[in-house]
Amino acid sequence: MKVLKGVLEEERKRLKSAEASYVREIGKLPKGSVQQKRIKDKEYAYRAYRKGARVVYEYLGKLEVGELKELERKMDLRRRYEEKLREVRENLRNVRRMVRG
Amino acid sequence: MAEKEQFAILSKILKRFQAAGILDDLILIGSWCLYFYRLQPGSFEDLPAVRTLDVDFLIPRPQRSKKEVNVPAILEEFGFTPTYHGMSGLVVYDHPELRLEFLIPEIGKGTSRPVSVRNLHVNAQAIRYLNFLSDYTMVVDYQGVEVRIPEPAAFALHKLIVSSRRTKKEKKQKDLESAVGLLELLFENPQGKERVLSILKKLPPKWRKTILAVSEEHFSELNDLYTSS
Repeated sequence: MKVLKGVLEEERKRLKSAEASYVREIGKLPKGSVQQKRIKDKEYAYRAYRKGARVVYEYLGKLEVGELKELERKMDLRRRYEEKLREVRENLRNVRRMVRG
Repeated sequence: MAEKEQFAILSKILKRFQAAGILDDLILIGSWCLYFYRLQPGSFEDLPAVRTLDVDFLIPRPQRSKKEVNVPAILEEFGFTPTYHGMSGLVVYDHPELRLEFLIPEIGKGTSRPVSVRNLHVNAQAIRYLNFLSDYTMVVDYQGVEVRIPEPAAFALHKLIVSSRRTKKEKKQKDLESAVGLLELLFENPQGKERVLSILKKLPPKWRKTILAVSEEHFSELNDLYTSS
């Protein structure tokens, strides 16, 4: 039983540091999505994201294909990390319940 | 902590490492080995299933290959995030279900700083006694992936020696339970006994002495076997 409690406590600590890591990494990544608008045959990029109840469109200008791909990759990673953060918090709640017994 | 999910992620990572051509250069160590031993035909089905969520990969010294692979980028694909350990420079990789860590045998006087493994873009924690795990390995087939793990006899002896250096009571107890559980099963047949003895005899005398001092109290059959050999 002692070993099992030790494993759970170790896991609780690990999840706490994982939570902090996800929060830190999410903070470094842009939120929202990229939208392209065609004006007079030229494509312009905007970053659309939610700010409270309204949606903000931030003008990014003309982006190179590589820049656009990198931005989309970072946004996608942010969404993935946000999902993982929710899972970490759920696991943390479960472990705390188990430690308390 | 869905067990199914943990195995699914580990399996994907192993497959991805194999595809990148680096799996052969890594040895899976730590409590996950017990799971792989249980999968082997023979007498290991009764091994205790308790394991931590840390997946430890040992990078042998010298490395088998120097293939350039960006491991953190691979882990990022699976949603792992880097977790930095204080000022030491050590980075481990966290996921809701698992933590991945890279270890390397400590050589010479040792250092508290991690060792940079440039071709894999990772920092590995240097730990003493790991080289005898990399000296005695076996390859198991796991869902079509060839995974290198330490031989059970080496794993058990390693657990005995590291238990002597543990300061945390629970960790020490966990090491001893794994070691004794494995040794009991290995001692059920002559080949298992022979393998434990042969590895024990090849270890540096100081290490052997430490192991025998621990086993005296927790698994004296090992001392009897060594004395009678």
